Amino acid sequence: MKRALFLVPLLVWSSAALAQGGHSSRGFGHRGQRSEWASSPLVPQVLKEAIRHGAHARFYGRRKVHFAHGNVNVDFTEIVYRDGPRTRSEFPDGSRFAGQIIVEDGHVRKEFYPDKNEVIVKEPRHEENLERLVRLARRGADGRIVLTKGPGMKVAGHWTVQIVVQDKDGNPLQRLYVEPKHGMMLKREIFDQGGAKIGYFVFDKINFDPPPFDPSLFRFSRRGVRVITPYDVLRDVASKAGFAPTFLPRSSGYKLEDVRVANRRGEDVLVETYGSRQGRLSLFELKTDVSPDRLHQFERDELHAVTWQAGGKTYVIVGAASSEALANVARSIGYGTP
Amino acid sequence: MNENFKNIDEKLNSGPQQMVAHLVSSLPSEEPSMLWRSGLNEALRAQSRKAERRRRFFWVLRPLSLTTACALAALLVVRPMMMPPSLSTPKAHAMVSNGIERDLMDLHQNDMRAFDVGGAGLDPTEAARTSSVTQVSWTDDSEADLEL
Repeated sequence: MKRALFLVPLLVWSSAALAQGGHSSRGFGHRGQRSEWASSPLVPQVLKEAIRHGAHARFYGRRKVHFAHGNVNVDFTEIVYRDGPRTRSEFPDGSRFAGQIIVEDGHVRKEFYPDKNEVIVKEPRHEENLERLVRLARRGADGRIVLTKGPGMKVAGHWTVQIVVQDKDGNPLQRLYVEPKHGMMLKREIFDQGGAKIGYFVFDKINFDPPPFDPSLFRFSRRGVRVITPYDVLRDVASKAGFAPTFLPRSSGYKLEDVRVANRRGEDVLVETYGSRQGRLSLFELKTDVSPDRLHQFERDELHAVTWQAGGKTYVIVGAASSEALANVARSIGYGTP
Repeated sequence: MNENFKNIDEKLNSGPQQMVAHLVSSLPSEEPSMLWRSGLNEALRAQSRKAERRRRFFWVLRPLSLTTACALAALLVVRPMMMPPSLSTPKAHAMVSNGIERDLMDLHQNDMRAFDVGGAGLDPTEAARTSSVTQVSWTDDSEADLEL
């Protein structure tokens, strides 16, 4: 009896210690780096201003978005209302997206799809967009990329300053056009590894001093609509395609944003896209095998992958974080529904 | 019967028997000394203390070893169930590849680029889903000043 009393707490302690394992509090190491990029001479002042003003920008404008997604060429025009963290996007008459409404009130994002009479509730993206610029500044300050200020062009009637983003070998990655007075990025171009422009957005009209916005503009409230989350979409899509509804728990810091089934080489792949302050990642679920060695061949700066098998399925996580950080995220994975 | 006893007495009183009796009675008496007895007692006491110490040691060691065994079992059985198995052994399921690895990396990069330009607006993967396959052509009319 005495021995049992001695054994039980020891066993509980050792099991708890094991369960904690290696994924205790290792993060992505972003804390404490803010001041480094903010004071770095390698980061152009106009980019610092764009980050500083980003959280408080207030405007009304129209922008064109164009990108190649695989073999699909996507282009659309959207009308954007912005008041600090609150945003609203609409689509002009004649657009195939006309009728869709996207609002963010600073806490939640709602996407309304009139054809399905459905609202998908997601995490807001505004802060993530700002974090994306901060990560760019950090990489510039670390010397992993080169940020160069150059002469800009007139965009939507406003003169801009150009920031050229290059890799260490001088290959262009992005060109940003920032209106310096308001610190507003009016145009952004993205290039592939061969230097081809594969995407851009550009404002063709912008008003930096719009009349006061009615707060209801940034809310969406409609009776009779089906309100769902990306996790509901995951359950639906996964069950129809014969996949397990595996997802990263919210505690991992990554929130599910998009779910779809892609077909590659005759094989269905469940694609889950997650957003977080640390950046985005993709979780793939396949019914076939994947070679970890071949995956690692395609890794490079800001592109890493981990893979494992469970329940007869193969899982792959791809993201900008290090392999170790991605492995920690993978260990947090849950099965079933939220 | 009396005859037999008489014979025995006669035999005991015989010369050789008397000589043996004399030899035995003349042997020196060897009773154990007090010193030897004390030494024996000390040795027995020391032996007993050692046995007690060993018993106490095993009383602690046995549960410890049992706990360690349970912890090891948890490490070998429970932990692999909790963590993706091949994360620590990336070559565990190396197999013939059909090239899908590159496709997965491309899928991720396509999505990231789309989000880079999409920003807080229309979900770019949703836009790609509802777009038809077309030739990629670039028209940059950023100079246009369209009326709202």
